[in-house]
Formats: sequence, C-alpha cells, structure tokens
Amino acid sequence: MEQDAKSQIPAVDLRMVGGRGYIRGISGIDDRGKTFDRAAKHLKQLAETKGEFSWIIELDLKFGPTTSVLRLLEFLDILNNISRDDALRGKIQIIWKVPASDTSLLSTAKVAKQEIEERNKKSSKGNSNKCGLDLKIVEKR
Amino acid sequence: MTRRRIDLITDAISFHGVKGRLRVEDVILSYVRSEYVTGDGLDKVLEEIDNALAAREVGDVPRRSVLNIVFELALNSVMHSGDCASSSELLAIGLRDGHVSVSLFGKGRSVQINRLSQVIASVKSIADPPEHQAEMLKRRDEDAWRRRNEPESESRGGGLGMLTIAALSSQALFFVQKVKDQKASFVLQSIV
Repeated sequence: MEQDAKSQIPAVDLRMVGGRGYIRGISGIDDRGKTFDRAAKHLKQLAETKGEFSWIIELDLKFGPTTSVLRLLEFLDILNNISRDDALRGKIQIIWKVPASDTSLLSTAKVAKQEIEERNKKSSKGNSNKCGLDLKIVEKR
Repeated sequence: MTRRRIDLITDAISFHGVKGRLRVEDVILSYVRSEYVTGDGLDKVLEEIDNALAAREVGDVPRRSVLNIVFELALNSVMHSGDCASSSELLAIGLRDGHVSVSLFGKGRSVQINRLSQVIASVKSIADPPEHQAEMLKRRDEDAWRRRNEPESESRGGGLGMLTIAALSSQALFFVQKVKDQKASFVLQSIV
C-alpha cells in the first residue's frame, strides 16, 4: 500500500520493502482515519501471505484529532492481534513519533501502549508464545 | 483584518453578550466556516495560527494546544453542522494578558446545540481546573480505546473532541446559546 501525502491525508508506504514502512502526516478532515482502516486490512493480508516477517513501522503524525485517533487505536489493536497470532510467524514494531509539545497525543500514545501491554500480559497466561505488538513511543523535540 | 470582518466579530460579540470575554482589539486572527472546513483551508489556517502565536512568543505547549483545539472545532463543524451553519460561523483567536482564547461563534439546529450544551456540562463535571488535564485526558483515552471499533456516527466523536478541548484549556469551557426566530446560535470559548 502506497499513498502520497495530500492536505489532511497522510503519506503511506506499507509495501514493507526491507521490513520497513511508514505513515506520516495528518489524518484530518479529508481522511478521518480511513487510512488506518486501509492500512490494517492491507497488513493483515500481507502477513497472511508472507507467513514469516519482521516489520518496523514508523508512525509520524503531525496531529491526532479524536476522530482519526479512534481508527488509529483500532489499527494498533489489529496489528497486536496479527503479532499474537500463533498461525503466523511474525513480529511487528511500531515506532510512534509524537511531538513533545503535544500533551494530547502523548497521552493517547501512552494509554494505547499501556492497554496493549496489559492485554498481552493477561493473555500470555494462556498457551500463546507470542509477545504481541512492540509499541515504542519517541518524543520529538 | 477587513472592516467587514471587524464588523462581523463586533456583531457576534454583541449579539451573544460576551464583551467581557472577548474584545475585538484582542483578536489576532479570525476565520469564517468556509475557510477551515476543507483540507487545504484547514492546513493554511493551522499554519497561520502557529506562525502568529510563535511571532508573539507563545510557548510550544500552549501553541500546540491551540492548534489541537482549532482542529477539533473544525472537525466538529464538518461532522455536526451542515446546511444550517452559514458562512457567518466564525472562529476567533484572541490574545490577552499572555493567554490565547479560541472562540467559536456557531449556528445550527436547536437539537444539536442543546446536545453540545449537554456534552460540555458532562465534560465540565469530570474535573475542575487547574488540576483537570491529566484526569480528563485519561478519561478520554480510556474511552477512546473502548470505543475504537465503533463506526463513525454523529453521536460518537463529539464527546471525545470536547473532552480534548476542555483538557487542553487552562480554564473551564465557556458556553452560551441563544435562540432567535427558531434559529439557534452559540459561543464556545476555550482559554489556553
């Protein structure tokens, strides 16, 4: 999946060439998170086709309006499920770059990380050997 | 600012009786709805506000908060106000005593504006400034995580967006509504 940046629509390269991809820019009034829905669907299909993979995805968003953030959280949850899927042999790391001055987006990123880690901790008591999505938050100064 | 725009702001302040909360001379930028409800338009508006506040030495954190508030208001306007919102819907950015104010003079159906009023009242009840930000953001983010897979709807985003605006404001949100000739209008003001 590739997408050029337009006003209020982020740039995307999730072909995962060399195991790396990115989503950068603004998912704003012309996008409202639809990019994240498409990206999740695409990565799920790609994961099922590849079978074995190790991906690093950079998430560098200029803003995080609530409407888009809801779709972004769902995107992260889907990637977590892919990472935990025992039928797949895949690892996914998200490097989420957040402007250090953005109190709002930083809070969202931290809560998302906490929710994913808690969920994975609970389900790791079961039989799964997978650790789930590795979400790394980087504050941009 | 053009004479026409100054008159528009003066009329809006006077009509809603908010002279004590916003003075025309404090307004540094203003926009009508058509200027911020398109992608290109909103990009330009955000850049202008960022530059204007940076030039007046507003710090990185409050500047970013103002941009996030404007973003939420623009999204709210796109999603919740339709035909009733005429070009006279007005967004005014003011600066007074080092505090930035974001004031939205909006129009819409009474039912929508009543709902907005209820949402704001509900948001205000969560916590009182100045110790409100962490509690409100936590509440918003946990709620957003729970509701992440709900489809987009008119009733969904408004509460979370308003919670964001309230959290990023340094004072409680100010809201008044007026009904005249079956038409409803309101002022929503955030002070950062």
